[in-house]
Amino acid sequence: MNRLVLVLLFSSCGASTDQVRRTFPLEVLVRAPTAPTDSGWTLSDVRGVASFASVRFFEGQVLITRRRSPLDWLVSTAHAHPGHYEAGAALGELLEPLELNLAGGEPATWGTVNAVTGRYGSVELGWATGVRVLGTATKGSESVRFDTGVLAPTKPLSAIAFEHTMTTAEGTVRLELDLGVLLSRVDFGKTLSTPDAQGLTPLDRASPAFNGFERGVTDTTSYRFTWQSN
Amino acid sequence: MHRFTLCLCAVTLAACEPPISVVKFTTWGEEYIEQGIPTKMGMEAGFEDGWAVTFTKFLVILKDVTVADGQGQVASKQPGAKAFDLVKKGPVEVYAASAPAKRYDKVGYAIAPDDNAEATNIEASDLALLKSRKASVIVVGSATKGGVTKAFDWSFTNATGYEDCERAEMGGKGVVLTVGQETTVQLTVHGDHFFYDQLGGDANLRFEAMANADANGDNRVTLDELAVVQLTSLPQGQYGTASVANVRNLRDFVTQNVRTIGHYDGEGECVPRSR
Repeated sequence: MNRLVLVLLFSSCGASTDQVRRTFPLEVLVRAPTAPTDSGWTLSDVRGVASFASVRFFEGQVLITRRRSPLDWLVSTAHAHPGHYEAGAALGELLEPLELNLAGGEPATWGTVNAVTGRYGSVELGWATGVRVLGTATKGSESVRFDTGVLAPTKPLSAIAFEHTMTTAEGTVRLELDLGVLLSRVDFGKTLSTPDAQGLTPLDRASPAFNGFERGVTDTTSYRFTWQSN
Repeated sequence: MHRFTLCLCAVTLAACEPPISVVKFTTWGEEYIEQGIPTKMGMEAGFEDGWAVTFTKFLVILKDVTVADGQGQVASKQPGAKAFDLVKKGPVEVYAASAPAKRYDKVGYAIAPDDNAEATNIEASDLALLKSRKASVIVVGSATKGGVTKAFDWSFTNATGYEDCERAEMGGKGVVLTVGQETTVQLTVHGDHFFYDQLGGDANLRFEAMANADANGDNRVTLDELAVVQLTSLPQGQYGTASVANVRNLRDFVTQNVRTIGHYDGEGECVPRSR
């Protein structure tokens, strides 16, 4: 009888996933563009700043678009379905701001993430002051020293893929910011502006070039999160 | 002795294997495909930008309907492929399977081209069209706003598996087959997804950018014309690509959206995977 009770207890407990508190370091690496942009511009001397406020890790996997229902405005509870992105439970967060030097180099430490074990699916990046990129774009005999100006997204960048089963194993999460993807849609021939006194060409906010910059900044594939085992 | 052993085995098997049950898969394009997608009016969903769309053909090939348990053990799989015209009144049966009555967590299907697809409710000429274009989906219809009508006839060769299907509203994974009951599962197709303006997150329905793509002004919007429209020429905040890489123009965008049309029992979802 006692053995049966134990078996039942174990079988019912076996389905549960006990989360364990843990921390892990988050490092950031900037990848410089290595290929020409979509419109054929080769980029060099790329630098600037990306200013983040926070990182949050969630269990929801990144999939695809969902049909918007008028009831969405009335129902606050999120239902998780395959094919939809629903953030789900928060599994970790880092609330220290980061001023990331986009000139690149070695991986930089952002901070220590307070987290729990579990199955991770996605990340949300919170912006501080936003992102600004400068550099030189060259196509044939044409050269443009550009300044995107500061783009400050009004809402966090959510649904960045990060699929990893987080255990208590030692390791680091790495964020790679890929400037090649981020700038790939910018056509530097369509800035709708002229160089300033310093020879820098700003991207007019109404220009196709700035439109491409905004799309690159909000393209979640510009940001790659990976687990690096120790 | 042998006969006794055989009987014992049969009794044992009968005791361990659940009785056979039947699951019937149907497909339906809902009112959006059968009747059209209206302009948004108040709380009523529809196009944000004043357009309305009706389909005259919505041809689709469904194949590989599969019922498997949580361990991936396949209980039943649809042989061959079938072609449907979802503008015709549905739901229409796709495949009926027999399987032991129990829970099946892994149910999936595919929308993919197939040279050997069989006709169902589809005209022979439309089946031939699907095959000649090597298409999985063909949509023919028109969009109207004010006095302007723009026709479209688009073919897509995407092959997409819809895996791990799950019912909406916490309805659970796959299907549960019950003794003595025929269970019906609908492979629902969402025709409005062609016109979503986001590849991730919440989306609105828009046609304005597609209408403006009609470069030669013949009131027919072709996929080639959509390919000319770079997303960077469209208003910021519209046609965001989220986590989908290498989507640069409206043709890329609508082709990517095709991968999201397959659903499960209405608003239920599957995990779409390219094949």
